Amino acid sequence: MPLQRCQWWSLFALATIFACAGGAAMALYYEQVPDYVYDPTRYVFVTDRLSDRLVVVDLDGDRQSDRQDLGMVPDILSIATDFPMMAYGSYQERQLIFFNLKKKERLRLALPSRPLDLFFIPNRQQLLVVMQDGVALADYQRLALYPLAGLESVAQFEKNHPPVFSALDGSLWVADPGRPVIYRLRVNQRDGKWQPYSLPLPDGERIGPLSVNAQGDILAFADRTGSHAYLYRPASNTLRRTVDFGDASAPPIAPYLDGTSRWVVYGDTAGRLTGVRTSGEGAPISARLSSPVEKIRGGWLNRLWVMVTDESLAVQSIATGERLNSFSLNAAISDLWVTGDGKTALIAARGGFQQVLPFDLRTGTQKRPIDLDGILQANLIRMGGNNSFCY
Amino acid sequence: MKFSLWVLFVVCATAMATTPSPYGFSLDGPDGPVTEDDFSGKYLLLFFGYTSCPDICPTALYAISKVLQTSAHPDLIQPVFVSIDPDNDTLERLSRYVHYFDPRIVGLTADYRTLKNMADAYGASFGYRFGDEEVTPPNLPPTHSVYHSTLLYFLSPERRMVDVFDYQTDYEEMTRRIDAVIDGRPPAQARFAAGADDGAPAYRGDCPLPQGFSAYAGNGPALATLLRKAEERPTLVAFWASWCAPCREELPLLDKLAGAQSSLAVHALDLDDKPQAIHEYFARLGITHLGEERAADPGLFAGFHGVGLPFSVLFLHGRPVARRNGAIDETRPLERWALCAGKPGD
Repeated sequence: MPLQRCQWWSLFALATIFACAGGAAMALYYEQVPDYVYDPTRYVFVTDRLSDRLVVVDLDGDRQSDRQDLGMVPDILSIATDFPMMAYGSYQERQLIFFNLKKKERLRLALPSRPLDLFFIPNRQQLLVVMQDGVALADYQRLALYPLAGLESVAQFEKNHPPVFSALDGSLWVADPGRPVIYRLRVNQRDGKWQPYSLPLPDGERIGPLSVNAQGDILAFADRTGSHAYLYRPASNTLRRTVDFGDASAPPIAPYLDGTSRWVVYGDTAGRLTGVRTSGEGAPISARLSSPVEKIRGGWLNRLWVMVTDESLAVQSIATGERLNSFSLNAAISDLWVTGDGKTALIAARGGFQQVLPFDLRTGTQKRPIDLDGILQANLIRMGGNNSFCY
Repeated sequence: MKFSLWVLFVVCATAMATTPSPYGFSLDGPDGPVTEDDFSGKYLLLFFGYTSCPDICPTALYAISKVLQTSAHPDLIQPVFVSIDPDNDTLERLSRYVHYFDPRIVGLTADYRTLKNMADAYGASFGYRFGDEEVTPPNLPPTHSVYHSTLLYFLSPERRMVDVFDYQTDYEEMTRRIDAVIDGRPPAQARFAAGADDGAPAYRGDCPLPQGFSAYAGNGPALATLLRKAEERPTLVAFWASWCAPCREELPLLDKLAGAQSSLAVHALDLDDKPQAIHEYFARLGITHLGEERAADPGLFAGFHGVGLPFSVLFLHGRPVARRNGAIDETRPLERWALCAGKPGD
């Protein structure tokens, strides 16, 4: 029986009401979701060394845009690149907090051991948790923890020589503290075991802090005394000595492998830096800073190296090997972050600095500090999905 | 002497003009080979991707299409999508894909080695995987996956890298920045980029600029708007603030320069501090020759497209002729320039 005209109108009115209600609900939802969820290269997350506060800074306008309470003072903090989720923990507490950036909701996950480092696994909504004496996968949708295979020869992971993660092949890598062996765990494989790689290092040399590229096909390290630097390619089991520091050795820091895997930069506690091409071609680029190197990163189209010591930031050109700029901050640096577009270096400093200090890497100039409200000492700086990979 | 300086200037200018851009390319397009010269006079908005890319490439192409719709100069912008998956992306498929977003977008590709060299020059990266393993052409498995870095590159008609954008940059923001460049309001020059002088017309004087300074032909504020009293000599204005770490190292050097010669007037303009704070700061650093000057309007700094500090501008006859990002670490070239530029008749 055909519908009467008034019935059609009723149906139309009902559909309109549903559509409007749905639209309003969507609008309300998006209004409540903070902007920083959708613009990860614009917003900076800064933690406090002395409180559980976290502030969000908008780099477009260089001003604070939000403040949250974390419920703990984090030593480690990571943000997923494919989901609005942040995870953090303290070296002192056997727990992990997941902070849903969209809902601003905190979820607690108990751990069997204290956490050392956190790595979000792309496209799987899982977090790899490195703890003092083991590793596990945390599923942040189900809030469940799945322990991964143990490593007998490494009873305790060291904070100064932590495992490193290659995101594209989903591998965790760690060096044996006593023998020239690197172990690899493919975390995406069910019942995966640690696979050992024996390296032909000279007698007495032990592997220092490791770095790995995203593909997991190049590992870089110096020996623990800093005498020699190496590149290791696990697929072919080839080890190449890249730098011989001779007698002037000093304990190394974790090397920096750039995003294109073309350069590796070694640094040490004597302030020495040496960059070499991973292909083995060309001459190394060397530099010396006035105090121990603490962190090395890349910037502006992978043309620059950005280095921090305890109180200074230096910028080095890869093309010319020339030191482009040094900024002596007269304050202890607690963290360095380079934005995903490589244009800005951000520094957190201790000692009365309730600020983030931005540096424009393209022009080599310092920008006006960004004041932080509610932070006593800026500590960790993190940003969301940056110039990472699409795959 | 003057003639030899002029010859030197011409030789240097010619050499700079003929230095090839590292961002040139020679790729395959739907109608045959395509190089950067095929887009002569246009700005390029370039992205590396592939047609089966699930999320980032469509997002970037959507942003590009919106930039074309909202920019005041769409005819001056040539979007280029470079496929780094030539095994799967035929030129026909590539064209169909990019035209879905906007028919003005050009889809180009090439063989693996050519693409790799191009990506290297741009600081970009890409690769192929099969399962957990990295695989490389020519023998890619049919079901390989592709990964790539995710920046949009904005290049000037001279093929200098003007800016880069993350693929998630809001298209309105991207349009704003692109239009500012095309309108002749460029962002700060990329001092550290190869061929850093991104299209600014050259300084026409015959006195070589001090190293680190680049010619400036923008409509920056005249010297008279910055200083309290008139200045006839060639003049250096250095902008600073007490929070600026490299300014702390630069100021004593400029102070010495101000006291040691008279060819160049030297002014340090504070952007951010109160007069008392400037006074105390100068006392602490032992600054005696520089005046305690404050920019009456800190916005004037932006008039020179300054981004950060230190930032310096050279003035001749009251007009800005050159600028420098970063700290001045040597003053003799400044003296030489002032002696040359300040001669009668210049």
